[in-house]
Amino acid sequence: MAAALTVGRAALTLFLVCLLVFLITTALPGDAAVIAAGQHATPERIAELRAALGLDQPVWTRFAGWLAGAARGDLGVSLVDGRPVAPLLWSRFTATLFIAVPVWVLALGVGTPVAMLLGWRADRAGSALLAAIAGLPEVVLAGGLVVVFATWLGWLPAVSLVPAGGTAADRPEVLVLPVLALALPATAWIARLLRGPVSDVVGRPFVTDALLRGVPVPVVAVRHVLPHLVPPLAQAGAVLAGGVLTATTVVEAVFAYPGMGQLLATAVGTRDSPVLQGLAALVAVVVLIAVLAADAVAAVLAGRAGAR
Amino acid sequence: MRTWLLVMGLLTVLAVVLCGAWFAPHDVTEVVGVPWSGEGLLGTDVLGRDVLSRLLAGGAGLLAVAVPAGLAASLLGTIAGLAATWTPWVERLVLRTSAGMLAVPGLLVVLTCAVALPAWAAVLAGMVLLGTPLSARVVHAAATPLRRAGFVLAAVVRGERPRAVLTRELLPVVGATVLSDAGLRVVAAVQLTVAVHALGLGPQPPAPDWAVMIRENLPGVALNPWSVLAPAVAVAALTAVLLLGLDLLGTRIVPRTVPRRHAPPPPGPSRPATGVVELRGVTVESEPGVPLFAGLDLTVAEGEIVGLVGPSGVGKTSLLRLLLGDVRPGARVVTGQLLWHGEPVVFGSRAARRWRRAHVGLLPQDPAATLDPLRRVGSVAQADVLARLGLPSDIGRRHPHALSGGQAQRVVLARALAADPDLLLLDEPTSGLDAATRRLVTEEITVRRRSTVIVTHDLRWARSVCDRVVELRHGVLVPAGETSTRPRTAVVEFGAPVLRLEDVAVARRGRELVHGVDLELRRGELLVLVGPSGAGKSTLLHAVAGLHPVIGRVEARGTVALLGQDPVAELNPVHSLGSAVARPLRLAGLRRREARDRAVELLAEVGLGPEFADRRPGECSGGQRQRAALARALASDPDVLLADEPTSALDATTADAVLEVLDRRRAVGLAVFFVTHDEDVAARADRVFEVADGRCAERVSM
Amino acid sequence: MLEMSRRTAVGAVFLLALGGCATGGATQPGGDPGTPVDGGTLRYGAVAAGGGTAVTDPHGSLFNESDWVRMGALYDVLTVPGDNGAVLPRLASSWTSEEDATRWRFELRTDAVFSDGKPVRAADVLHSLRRIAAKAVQNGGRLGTVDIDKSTADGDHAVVLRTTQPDADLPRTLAGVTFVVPDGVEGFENPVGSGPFTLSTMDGQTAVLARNDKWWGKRPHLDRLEIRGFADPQALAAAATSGEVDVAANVNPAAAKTAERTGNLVVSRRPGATTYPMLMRLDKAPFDRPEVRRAVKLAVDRQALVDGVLLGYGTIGGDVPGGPDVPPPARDIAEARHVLSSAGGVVLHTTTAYPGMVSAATLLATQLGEAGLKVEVRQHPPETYWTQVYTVEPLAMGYYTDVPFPVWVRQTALSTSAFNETGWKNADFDAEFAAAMAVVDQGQREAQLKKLRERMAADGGWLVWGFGDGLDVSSPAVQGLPTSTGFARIFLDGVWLRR
Repeated sequence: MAAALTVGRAALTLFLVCLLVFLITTALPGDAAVIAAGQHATPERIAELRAALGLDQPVWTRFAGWLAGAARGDLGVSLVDGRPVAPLLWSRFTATLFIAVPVWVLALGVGTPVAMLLGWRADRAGSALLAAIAGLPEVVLAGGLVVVFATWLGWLPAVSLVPAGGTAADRPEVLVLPVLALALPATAWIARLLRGPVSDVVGRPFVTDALLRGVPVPVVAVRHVLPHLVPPLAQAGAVLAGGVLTATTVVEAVFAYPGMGQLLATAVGTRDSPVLQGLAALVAVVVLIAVLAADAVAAVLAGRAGAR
Repeated sequence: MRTWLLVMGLLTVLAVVLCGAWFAPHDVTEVVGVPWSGEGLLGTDVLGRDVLSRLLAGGAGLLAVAVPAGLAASLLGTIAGLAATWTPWVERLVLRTSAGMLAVPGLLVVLTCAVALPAWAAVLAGMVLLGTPLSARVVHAAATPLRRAGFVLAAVVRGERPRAVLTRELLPVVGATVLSDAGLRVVAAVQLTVAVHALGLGPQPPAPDWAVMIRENLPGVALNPWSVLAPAVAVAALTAVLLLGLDLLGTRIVPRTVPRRHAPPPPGPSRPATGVVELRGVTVESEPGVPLFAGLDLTVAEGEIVGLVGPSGVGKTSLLRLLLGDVRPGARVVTGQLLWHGEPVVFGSRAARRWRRAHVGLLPQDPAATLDPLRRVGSVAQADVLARLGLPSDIGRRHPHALSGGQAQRVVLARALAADPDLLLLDEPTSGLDAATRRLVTEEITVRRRSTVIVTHDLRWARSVCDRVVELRHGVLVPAGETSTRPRTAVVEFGAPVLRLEDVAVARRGRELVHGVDLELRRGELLVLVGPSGAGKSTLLHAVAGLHPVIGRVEARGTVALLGQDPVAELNPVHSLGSAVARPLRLAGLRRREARDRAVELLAEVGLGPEFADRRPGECSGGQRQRAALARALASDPDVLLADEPTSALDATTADAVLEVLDRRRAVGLAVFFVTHDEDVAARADRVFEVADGRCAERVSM
Repeated sequence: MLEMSRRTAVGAVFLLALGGCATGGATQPGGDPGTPVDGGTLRYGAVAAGGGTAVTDPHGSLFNESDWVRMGALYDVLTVPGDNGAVLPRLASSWTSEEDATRWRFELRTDAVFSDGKPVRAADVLHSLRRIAAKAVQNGGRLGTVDIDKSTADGDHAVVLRTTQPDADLPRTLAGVTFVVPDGVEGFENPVGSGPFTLSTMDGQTAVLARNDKWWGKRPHLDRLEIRGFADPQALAAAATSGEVDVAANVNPAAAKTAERTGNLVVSRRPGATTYPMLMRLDKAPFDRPEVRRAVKLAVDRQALVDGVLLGYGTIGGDVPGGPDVPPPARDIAEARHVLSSAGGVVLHTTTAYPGMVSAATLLATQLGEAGLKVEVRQHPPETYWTQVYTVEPLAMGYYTDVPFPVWVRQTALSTSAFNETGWKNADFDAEFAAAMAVVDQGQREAQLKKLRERMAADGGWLVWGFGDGLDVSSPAVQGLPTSTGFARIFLDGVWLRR
C-alpha cells in the first residue's frame, strides 16, 4: 500500500517533470522549424517546415501525442534527422554511463573518506582546497588536465575518440581525463556536503564515548560514524546521479565524447523536442529512482534510530 | 574580534573586485596590439586588447549579479527549510519539490530563464528555481533534529509564535549550516552567471566580463594562455574566498561547546600509596595558567570500591577521564602520572588507549546518548548481564531509541561489565533509576569485588556501596563529609485548582501508555508523579503542556511553563543565560533594559551570580545550566510549572537548591507538576501519583 | 546552398570548450610532397553541430560538415567546383545550354556504376534531382532555378534541365550538391552510391568508408576514410594537434594560428570561404542616406579587421560578395567624421552563432566610434537572430559562405527576393541582372556582373570588409587536400598519405 503510494507519487512527479520540460521547450524562442530553416528562411518556408514536422499542432495535442507514444515505449523521431529517439537516447545513455558510473563511484568513494578526514579534524587548509576545486570553472579544469596529461606528459589522449562502431570499453584510456575532470569537482562537492554531517556525528556522545573506551579510531569511523552518514550520502548520491548524466555537457564537448550532455545541448539548440523530452524523461527516471532509494535508506535508518 | 576582521576581509575582497576598473592601465576597449600576443603583463585578447585591464574591470558585473542571486536563493531556502521543520505540508512540499527539481535538467531551466529574461534576472530565477529547494532541504535536515530539543519545547510552551521559535531558537543554532549553504549557493550562482554570460546573454561587447573573457578567448588559449587562465583563476579565487569566508563566519558565530572552568584550586597534600590503579601528583590545566586539578592523588586497591562525590562542576567527570589515561579536549596534564600496577600509563597516548580497552570498563554520564542509535542492544552487551540488571528478555533486539532512559543506563552498564574489566568506572550509575532497579544495579556492582570508582551525588547510597568515599573539592580529594539533610518544606495553603486532567490518555507510536488519568493541581501544590522508566510519565507531562496529542480533557487555568530533564538541551547554545531568561519577560512586554535587570534577579534567585548573565550554556556546567533553565521557566511567573525530572542529572546540593527555589515560589502560589524517580523529591510532595501498568493512581500509603 | 550557414550555428554556442593547448615539439612540415602513394587510412575530422546526429539522406537537410564530406565520398554529383569559378565535370561529362540559358543538357558518363553493380542512368539522376527539389524546404533550395517538373531524361545518358529563368551559371549552382542515388530509392541506412568510397560502418560520431574499386574515376589512393564529427571546434583542433585525426577541416583562425605555431602541422587555406559583412538597411535611418553609407565605408580600417578578426587569414574586400576584385575606397576618417558625427547613435546587432561575428562587430563599433559614430553592440542567440533581428534592424552583422554570386543575388538582392537583407530594391538592377544571367559566354557574363557588383559596392548597404580563408589543419603526411572554394572541399578522392 505504502509502496504503491510511493510509486504513484513518483509517476506523478515524472509526469510533471515531462510536462514542465515540454512547456519549457515550447517557451523557448524559436522552434525546430526556425532553426532548421536557417539564415535565409522565408516565413512560408518556416511554416512549411513546421507543418512537415507537426509543429503546427496545438501544444496540448503534441504533448498528448508524445505522452501516448511514450507510454507505449515509442519516443518519437528526432525533428532534426528523422531518426527514432529511443535508440539514439540509449546509445548516448550507455556511452555516458562509461563516464558517469566511474565519476559517481569515485565521488562517493573518495569524497566520503575525505569528508571524514576533514570533518573529524576541522581541517581548514583542506576545506580551502576543496573550495578552490569546487570553484574552478569546469572548462578550465578539463583544459588543465589536457595540458598536463596529454600535451606535457603525453600519457593520455587529448580527445576521447571512441573507435568507429565500438564503445569506450575498447579504448578505456580515453575515459581517464573526462572522468577525472568530472570526478574532481564532484568529489570536492561530496566532501564539502558531508563534512558538516561528519562533524555532527563525530561530536555525538556515542562516538566520543567509544573513543574514550579505547576503541581504535578506524573502528569508530567504520562502525559508528559511517552508518550515520548513509542518509546524507544517499541523498548526495541521488543528486549526483542526475548531475553526472547531464552536467557532462562541457566535458563531453572538450573531449569530443558523444554522450548525453552533448545530446542535451544539441537538442536544446535545435529545439529538437522529442529528443529533449525523451532525454528529460530518462534522466528524471534515474533521479527519481535514486531519490526514492535514498529516501528508503534514510527511512530505514531513521526507523532504527527512532527518529520520526 | 576575529569575526569582525573576517567580515572586513571579505568585504575588502569584494570591494577590490568591484572597484578593479580604477586600477586598469588601459581602456578596456583600446586595441594595444595583435590579438593574443604577449603585449602587457597578461598579454592581449581576441581583439588585441589588454587582458590585465579587462581582468581588473571584469569582476564587478559578475559579482553584482551572482552574490545577490546566491544569497536570495539561500535566504528563501532557509525560510522554506525552517517552515518545513514546523509545518507538515510545507515539509512535504519542500521535499517533493526539491526531489522534482533535481529531476529536471538544470541546463534547460537556465536556458529558458536566460532567453526570456535579462541576464541578472535569469540568474536570480535560475537560482531560486534550482537552488532554493536544495537550500531548503539542507536547512530542514539540520533543523529537524532540534525540533524536540528542550529549549524549543520551552519556547512553545511559553507561547512563542512559530515564527519567533524558528527565527530566535532554531535559526541561530543552524546558523553555521545556513552560512555554509549560502556559500555553496553563491558559488553556484557565480557558476551560473559565468554560464549565462558566456552564452552571450550577459554584458554586451565590448564590456569586459570574466565569463565573456573566458569564452571569447578560448580559441586563442594556446596563443596567449593568460587570456583564458587569468579570468578563470579569478573566478575560482573569488568563489574560494566566498566559500571559505562564509564557512569561517559560520564556525565563528556558533559558540564553542567546551565548558570553561573557573575555580583555581590550591595544591593539596599528597599521599604515597600503591594499588591497582593510582593517580600520583597529577596537575591539570584547563587553560594555560588555569589549573583544574593540583597534585591529585588517588589510589584504588585490588577489589576496592571507591565513591567520588562533590558539587556539580567541580570536575568529577574530568577526574574519571584521567583514570582512563586521557584528558578532556583543551586541557593539559602538567605533572603527575597514572600508574597501572605500578607501571606508568602515558596520558592520551596510543598505549593508553590500548590499555583502557583491555582493562577498563566505563559507564559514562548521560549513558543513553553513548549508544549508537543504529546498533541493536544485543550487539553491545551480553544477554545474561542484561537479564541480571532486570531488563526484559527482548531487549537485545531493540534499537536504543526503544529504550527508556533508565533502561539505556543499565544497557550501558551491561556494556561496561561485558568484559569483566579489572577497573570499572561508573559516572552516576543510579541517577534516574527507580528503587527496584537501583537495587539490581547495586547488586551487580558489589558482587564483582573488583576495583571500581563510582562518581555519584547520592552520598547515602555511596556510603552503602563503597569501601570508602572521597570528595573532590577545589581540585583535590578529601574524605567525604556528612550527608546533607533536606529540610521538609513548610506547608502552605492550597488555593483554587489551576490544572485539571479528566480521563486523560496518552499514546506513543500508536501504543497507549497511560489511560484514565484524573487529577487536579491546585495553587501552591507540589504534585509528584513517579513510576518506572518508560511508563509514560514524560509523555503525559508533554501532553499536558500541549506538545503531544492528548485523548481526554486537560484544562489549565493560567500560564504554564516547562522545565525539562536534559541540561544539555534545555538551553539554546547560542543565547547567553541572561538573554534566555529575559526572553519570556520580553514576550510579556517588558522593555529590553527591564527584562535584562529582572533576568539577573532571577538568576540570583536560583543561585547564579550576575556574571552568568553573559555566559553561554557551553561555558557552564550541567547544574548551572539547569538552574538557568529553572530561572527561565519561572521568569514569566507561571501558574503551573511542569517539571520533567529536572533534578535527575544534578548533584544533591544543586538539586536541593532547585527544590528550595520551587518551595519559595510555591509559597506565593506556584503549582508544580513534578515527574521524578527520586523518592527524596517524592517525600516532600503534597501528593504523589504513581504510574504503573498503564494506570495512574494516587499513592495512599505515607 | 545556404545550409553551410548552419553547420556550426547550433550547439557550438552552448559549448564553452577548451582544447588544443599544444606546445609540442616542432618538426619541419611541408617540403616536397613527392609522388602519390597508395594505401592508408585518412582520419578526417569535421565540425558536426550535433556531435554525432548523423544524417543519412543526401537530399534533405545536411546539418553537419561531416555529413557533407560523407555524401561527397559515397555519391557522384553532376559537376564539381574548380579554381577561380570554373566548373569541372564529374558524373556529367559535358553540358550545353540552349534557348538563352533556360534549357540545359547534361551528358552523363557511361562507365559509372552503383556499388550494387547497376549502371548509373539518367533516370537515377532525375530521381535524385526530383528528391532534392521535393525537399527544397529542408535543403534550402539546393537546385536554384531548376524547374524540375519540366526537366526530362534523354535516353540513359543525358538529362535535360529546364530553368524558370535564364541561368547561365547553372552548372556552378549545381556544382557539388547533386548527389545521385539509384532510381526509386528512398531509404539510406545502407547507402548505394556511385562515388569513390563505400560505407563500411557508421555510428553517431564516426563513419568508416572503404575505397570503391569500381569507381569510374582515377583510383583513390586511400584504402579507407574515417570521417568523424566533432561538436566542438576546439576539440576538433585538439584532436588534430594531438594526432588523433589527420585532418581538421574548417577550423577557426585561432586554431590555424595555433597549429602553425606548433610547427608540426600544415595549414591549408582556401581563399574566400567566409565573411562577416555589416548590413545597413537602405530603408531605415540613418542608412537611408547614401552619404552615411559611404562615410561608414570610408571610416573602417579593413586591414585591421582582417588582422583582428581573421588573424590575417584573409584579404580585404570591396563591399560586395563574389571576390576581392572590386577595390574598396581608401580610408578617410576626416571625411567620414564630417558626415557621421551628425548621424547620432546606432545599435549594431550581432549574434553568437560564429565568434567572428561578435569580434567583427566589436571592432567595427570601435572603429566607427573613432569616426564619430556612436555604436552600441548588442548580441543575440542564433535561435532568434536570423528570424527576428537580421533583415529587420537598421544595422546588423551578416554571414556569407562562398556561394556563387548569382545565387546570392537571387536570394538577397532582387526586388523579388524573399529575403532582401539590405532593402536593395532596384528595377533597373533586376533587369540588368536577368540580362547578364542570359549571357552564355562566361567572360562576357562575368564582365557584366562585375559592373553590377561595382554599383552595389558604391551604392549598396553592404560593408564587405574582407574575405576569410577556409582553413584546414592537417598532418604533414596528408597530401592532395582540395584547395578550391565552395563544395570542392568535400571531395577527398585525390588525397594521399605520404609515408
